[in-house]
Amino acid sequence: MVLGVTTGTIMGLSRKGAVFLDSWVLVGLTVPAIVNSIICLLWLGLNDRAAIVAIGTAAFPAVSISILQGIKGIDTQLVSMGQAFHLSRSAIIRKIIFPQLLPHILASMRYALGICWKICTTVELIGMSSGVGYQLNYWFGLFSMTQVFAWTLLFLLVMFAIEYLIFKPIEKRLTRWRTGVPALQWAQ
Amino acid sequence: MTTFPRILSIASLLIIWLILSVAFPPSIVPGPVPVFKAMAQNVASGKAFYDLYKTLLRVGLGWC
Repeated sequence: MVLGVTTGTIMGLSRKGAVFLDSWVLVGLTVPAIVNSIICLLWLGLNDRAAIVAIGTAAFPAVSISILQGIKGIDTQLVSMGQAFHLSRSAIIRKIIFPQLLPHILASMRYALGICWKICTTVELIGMSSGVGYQLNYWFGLFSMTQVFAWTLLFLLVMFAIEYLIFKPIEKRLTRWRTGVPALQWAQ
Repeated sequence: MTTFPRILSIASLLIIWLILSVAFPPSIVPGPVPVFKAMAQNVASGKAFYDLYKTLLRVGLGWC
């Protein structure tokens, strides 16, 4: 997230930065996650550090692009209006820019978490001796479909818990000022 | 207002799973009951917590 938000912000604010980092993000998006995992495991060894680096590097391009799109979509007229009303720089960031970026940040947080889970399972499946991915590989070796399903379900329940106990309350709290799209009121 | 569609959504997934488990042998699609039993055993034995902790740690740090 930190790497992705930083890269996306630099790309969104600086033209030179965008040109420079564009190929980095493209490489990150193009290299398959499995290749990423293998390289990290070979370079850093079969340990947690390799898994964390593989997960971080695989997730950052998607976050960068989401943040970049968010920055590109900022309504500059509102920023000009804030300047016309003599708002301070921090007030413009807090009250005009951040609320516009928030949906993109929240979307990228969720998307990145999804990617992280998938990469983590792959890394654990290839080169770890613990974790859900390792268990899936172990039970796959024994051809026990029941255990494969059981571990997948457990994984799914944890994801649901994270979604409903962490992400949803954060989203609700941070976007409570929004009234919602009238046509979609029925969905709420 | 959103509770009913949510329950319906989860129930539909479980029904599809149940139908598939009846249509296919347990080695291909095991039924929900043996799967929930296996999951409960993993949780009760404490094995699940260690592996979940390790995965969550890696995912959490990688995500940050």
